[in-house]
Amino acid sequence: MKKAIIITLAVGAFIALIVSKQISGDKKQAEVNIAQVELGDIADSIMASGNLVFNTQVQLRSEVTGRVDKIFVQEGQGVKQGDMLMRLDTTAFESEVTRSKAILRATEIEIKHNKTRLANLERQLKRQKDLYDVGLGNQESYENIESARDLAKIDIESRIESYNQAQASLQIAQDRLSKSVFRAPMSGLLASVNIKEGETVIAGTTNIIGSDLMLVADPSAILAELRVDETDIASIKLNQKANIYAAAYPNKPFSGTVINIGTSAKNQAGSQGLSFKVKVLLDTTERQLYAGMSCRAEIATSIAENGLKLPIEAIQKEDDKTFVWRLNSDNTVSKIAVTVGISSDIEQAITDGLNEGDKIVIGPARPVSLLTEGDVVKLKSDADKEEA
Amino acid sequence: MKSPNAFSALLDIYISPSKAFNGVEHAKGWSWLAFIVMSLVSMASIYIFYSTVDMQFLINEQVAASTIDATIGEQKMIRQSIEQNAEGQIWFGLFGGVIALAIMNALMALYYMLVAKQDPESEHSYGAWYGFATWTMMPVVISSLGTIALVLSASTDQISQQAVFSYASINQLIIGLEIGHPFYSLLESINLFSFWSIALGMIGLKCWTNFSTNKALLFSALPSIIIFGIWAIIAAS
Repeated sequence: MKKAIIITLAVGAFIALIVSKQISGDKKQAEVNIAQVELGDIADSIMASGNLVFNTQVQLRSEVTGRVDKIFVQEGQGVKQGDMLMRLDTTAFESEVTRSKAILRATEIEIKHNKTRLANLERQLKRQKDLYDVGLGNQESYENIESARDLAKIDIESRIESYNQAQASLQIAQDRLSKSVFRAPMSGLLASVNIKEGETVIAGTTNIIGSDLMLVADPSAILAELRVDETDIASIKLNQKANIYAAAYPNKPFSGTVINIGTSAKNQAGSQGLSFKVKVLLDTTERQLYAGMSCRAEIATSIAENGLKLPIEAIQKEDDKTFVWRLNSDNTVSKIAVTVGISSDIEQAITDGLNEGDKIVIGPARPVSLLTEGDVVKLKSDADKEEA
Repeated sequence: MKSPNAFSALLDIYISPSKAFNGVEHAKGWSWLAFIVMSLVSMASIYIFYSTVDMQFLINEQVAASTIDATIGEQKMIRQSIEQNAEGQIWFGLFGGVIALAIMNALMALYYMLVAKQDPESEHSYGAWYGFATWTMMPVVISSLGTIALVLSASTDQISQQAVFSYASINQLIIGLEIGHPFYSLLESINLFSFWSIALGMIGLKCWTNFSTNKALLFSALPSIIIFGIWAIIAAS
């Protein structure tokens, strides 16, 4: 009997325990974030990175090998066309010119010498002919002199060609001498001076690029040379607008226009993919920019002006249809089908289905994925205030 | 007095444990039935839980429990790891539970065999003590039935793992520590059914040996005292 009572009490206690621990849950009100449908522009854009270069720039390289004697300019200095920039040590070049001139003169003298000899031989030949005509001369002697005269004429021709050769050598030496002085090919800024007095410059050959000396650039126009991935290049067109963010001004973009699109894909160093070179001419700016600066660009490939737009996280997809959760005045949500237009990285244009000012649920993702038509929701900001 | 057959023993172990132990002492094969029943009910409770619970809710709960002091990067890694292994949890629970039961019984059997040597007249084999240990674990069946009742009667699928598997723990009944407290896990592990098993062990030892009540109680409780004692020291440090 006692045992039966104990067992009954134990069973009763167990059932009571289970009942007390029963799990009940009202479906908690989802806490969501809201955004309003706004009117504005959306730019669908492509991102690319690249470097700034001056629109017009000339890299000076040496055509002759020599030691730098004097540099007349500094990096950052403005120069006019024709200004002397630097000069190589001209000793060797001048010596070469002198030598060439000497060879030319020597050749001239040889020609004179041969002409004199020719004149002498002509006289001898005439005398010999006169003697031969009166029977006092010797035919063999006559013929020998005649032959010598012919050879003298040939010698003169040969010397004349040597003279021409020497003249050409002189011109080359003079040209090399002139190339030891470097003048500005255009007016502009010395963007870089890569050589110092006393260093040796090497002339370029087939397989060797000559030493970089100086870079003269026109600073009035700056280009951004961008590398656009091959998957994006089809959307790039001339005259599209771009925002360029230079590393030195990460939050203040420069505006520019696409002026050139490369026609061949190139492999970029350090990257597996192919890219095209796109040049964007920056609009005139007072902020200082320098060639070589790295930059990133947003090229606006299409713009939807003055349309309805929402943050992109508001857009939900079911099968092929797009919809949003609109917040009603009684804090319930309704599923509204929408038609979408272009999008940027963060915004989506809405072409149909919503009005300006409509409140749309944008997140968090998990509660939003569980929403059903008519659910009551709590705004996250209100929920946070309550907890506080 | 002893249970006449294995099926009676299954009931007697709850309402008249000494009858069950007396019957089991010299019977052959009864312990297998107990082990099978315990395994099946335990597996059923785990299966029903995983079939009913909202997995995402469960993962969130597990992530929250594992990432109390973690940085955001560590939280992400832990979440990823838990999500990757989510589907395997049920299989691990089902078969891992049975294997754990078998191993624990084996260890307890060895322990009982060793302590019983203090009674020179006690001549039970290791296999007999294995069966003994199995019968002392029979409260697991009631615990699992309770879990099944809680899961099936829940009005939502957002069921906390702790709420259904540790509903009879000291922490949930009396203390009420939150996750993250150093003693939380320890107090969640000590439950009414642990005490019930200790009591069964005491009764069983009294039936199978000449131990006094106090001695039987001491030896029955000793493994739990040592394990939870060490756990408490580690938790406190």
